[in-house]
Amino acid sequence: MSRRLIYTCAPSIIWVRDADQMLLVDQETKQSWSLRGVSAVIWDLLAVGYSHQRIVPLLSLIISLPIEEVEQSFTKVLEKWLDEGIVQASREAKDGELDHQCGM
Amino acid sequence: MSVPRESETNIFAIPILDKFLLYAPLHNLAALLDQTATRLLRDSLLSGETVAEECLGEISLALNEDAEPTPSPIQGDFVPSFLGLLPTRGCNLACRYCGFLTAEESARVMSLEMAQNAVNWYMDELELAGVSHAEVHYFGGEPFCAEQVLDLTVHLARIRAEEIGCSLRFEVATNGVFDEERCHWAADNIDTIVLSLDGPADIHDFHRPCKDGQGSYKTVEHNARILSQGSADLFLRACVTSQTVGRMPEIATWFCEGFHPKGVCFEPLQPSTQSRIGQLEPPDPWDFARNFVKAAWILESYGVEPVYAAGDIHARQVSFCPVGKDAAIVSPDGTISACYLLRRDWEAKGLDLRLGRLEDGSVQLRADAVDSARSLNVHNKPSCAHCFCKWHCAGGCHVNHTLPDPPDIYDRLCIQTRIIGLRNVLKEMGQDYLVPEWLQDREAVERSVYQASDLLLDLGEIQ
Amino acid sequence: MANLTISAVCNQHCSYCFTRDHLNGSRASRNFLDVADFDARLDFLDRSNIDQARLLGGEPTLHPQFPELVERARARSKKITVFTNGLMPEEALACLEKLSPTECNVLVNVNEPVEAGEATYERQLAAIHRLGKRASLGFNIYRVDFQPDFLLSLIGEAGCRPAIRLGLAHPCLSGDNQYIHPNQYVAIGQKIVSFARLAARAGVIVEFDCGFVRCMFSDEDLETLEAIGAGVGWRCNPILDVDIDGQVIHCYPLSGLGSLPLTPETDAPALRKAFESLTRSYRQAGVFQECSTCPFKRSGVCFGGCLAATIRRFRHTPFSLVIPHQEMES
Repeated sequence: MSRRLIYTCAPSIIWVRDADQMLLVDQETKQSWSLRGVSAVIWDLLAVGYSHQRIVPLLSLIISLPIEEVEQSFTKVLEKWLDEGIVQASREAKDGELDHQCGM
Repeated sequence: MSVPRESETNIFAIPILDKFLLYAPLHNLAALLDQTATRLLRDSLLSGETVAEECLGEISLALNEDAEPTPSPIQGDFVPSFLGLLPTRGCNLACRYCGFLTAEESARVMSLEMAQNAVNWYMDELELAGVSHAEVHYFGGEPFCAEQVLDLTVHLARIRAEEIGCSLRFEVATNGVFDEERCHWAADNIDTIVLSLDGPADIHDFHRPCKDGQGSYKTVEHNARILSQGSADLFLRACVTSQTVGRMPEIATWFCEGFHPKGVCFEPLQPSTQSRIGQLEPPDPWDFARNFVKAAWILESYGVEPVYAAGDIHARQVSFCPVGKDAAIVSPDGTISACYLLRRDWEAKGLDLRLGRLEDGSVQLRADAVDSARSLNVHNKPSCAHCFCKWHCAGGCHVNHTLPDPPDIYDRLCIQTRIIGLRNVLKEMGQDYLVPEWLQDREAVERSVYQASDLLLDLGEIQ
Repeated sequence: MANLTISAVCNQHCSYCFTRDHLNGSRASRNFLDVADFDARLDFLDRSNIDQARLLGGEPTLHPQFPELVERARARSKKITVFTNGLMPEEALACLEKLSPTECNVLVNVNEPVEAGEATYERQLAAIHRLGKRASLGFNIYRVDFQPDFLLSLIGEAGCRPAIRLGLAHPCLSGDNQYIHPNQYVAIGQKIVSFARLAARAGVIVEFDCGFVRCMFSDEDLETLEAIGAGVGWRCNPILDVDIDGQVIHCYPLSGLGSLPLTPETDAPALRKAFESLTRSYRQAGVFQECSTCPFKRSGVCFGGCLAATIRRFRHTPFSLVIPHQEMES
């Protein structure tokens, strides 16, 4: 069965853009992360609602890397964020049923 | 002691009530003189003899000191002063005074590859020239109708600027009609936002409806509040018509109380076919100038900068706009121009402001086109030679403002610019208190404004 | 330092009041602190080695047993500081009059007469006059077109301490009060310097509350302020506001961030440390984007402005990213 993977921003994550970083704070644990470079760009694009389909080609133009490489980097970033609790992931069956999952 | 001859063309005397305002911008000098003192100073310039009177002697001394160099057109290699990007001419509004575009013109959007190439070319040029500051300005249409172009170029420009070690600023002129997340994005990522907001709902919705005829005020007002809380320098730009000119002070107060912007630009309506169809007329220049000054007092009390670009007496320039300043403005089709207005508008004035093309990743600029753009400067505008505004207004927009040569009359732009410019000089001198009396006296203002030559040496008989 | 809230009631409704979030959201069972609970607060001050009893509200002097509370604090050799609007009942005013200027400081917060109204202003003037050198003036800047010059004539007329404490109206986390946005700080800084010069000529010292930032003043302005004795700091620390129910908050603007209970074991240093730990993540930012790269912030000279204003910059974005189908075992 094919399933879509859906990443969502963890509900307790708030963030702010600073001159040299995206600063993320988990309001519950008070943990913080400083995103810079490509990670910061990814976060910025996600925040304005980019889909996977649009984000990867755009990233490829921004950082001047082939799409395949960008796809891999992008996936790694998401997985890292998932591990750290910045995002949450769930799998959705094609019939729309959600199957929550916290780790990969 | 005599004043160097070149300076004589930069020493002005303008009547203000029963006095003369002596103004020498390149000497950073301004003084209010009575008629006797003005005559003595003029005579001393003519004769080359020193002025005996004590305080006039000080003024003479100041006029003899080295002045700032006369502003000159750029020479030498073309180094883009800023990168202008026109992501699209398309727009999501149908403003009553906006120039008419064909469907084809408004549909075209800059390709992402074109945008990438434009940024890379610009940064390469800066690196070659050893320039340490980059600026990217977005024009339209409505730039946010091509969001991907903005997202790409903002991030790419940041990466390239860091690579070459230069600082970077972004500026956008926008109608403010976008969703909330995009609004936050703009507040976070753009350094200067010029937001068109013509006034409260009754004005704004009439002037600037959406394409479906509905008002845009609610969205723009909401977004203006978000932008005002963000990091960007927010400038509110209000188009003023004959119907709204009397409300400028009210609008200024409303702007300050509601949005605490960094600055407010009041711009008189530029007549167009659309504005005539929409029965909108530009304001009477006298009314505009008077109300601008009243609005300025209000804005300044809130620490907000009143902006009327042609009246900015701190400017020292030979051209009012990007034209002639080596700006590189890239259109969706890859044309690089000196101006962001519609090409057919330049052509209607017999101008060709194209500089070259960006194609397949490389840029071809025509040297003759660059020279031609640079020649559009106030040195080549005889109408402006004797006006005290010449290094500030520099003759205004090359496309929208042309004076007959020689000028028999000052047009509306000249009238309002001269009034506002004079007020700004008086304010800078700490003499703002004179302005209410002066502005109330129409004859006195006309004497100031209609003086054919402001040069001190051209002053006729002084009583 | 810690502020003790003894009254949840106020007889004014200042648009900038930063207790708004807390008092509106409070589930306090009473308007005034019990005497017994006040004694517990004094115990807290004792074990924290704090020799000041700083009384806060609402309007603290409206407490029906205000004189008794002051007496109890004085019995423990506490210097009394009262944060008041000056519109106090006769009993409260009389009890403060009995104290010497070294025993108490009454910080009277005044608004511009045109905002306060003539009757209110006259009452405040009368109270300040009676308090004399026990009183000093506080002024909250909540509009960029503020006009503080009236404070100088007020000092002259009322004979109070020649000192004015300037405060910036900071936002509650909800933003429901009127406050100065950091974008207005530079314009306000210029006006403050002009006023401080004027005040110095009148022999009045200008003091600064929390949340000012280094970049709101030019180097030249800072030299001027120093030269006239108006030393300004760039601090934002846990104040420790203790509410009526015995909950301790970082400060009233940040009441939405949570509270810690005041127990017989807790002392101020431990509470301060706990709040510093709670807010450390947010303090990496400041009120401006540039705070994160500012050398003054990095070196600790400037704290980056009011933490409530800083936290208001943060937002949650509920984005959702769908990755196209991946073949998996079902």
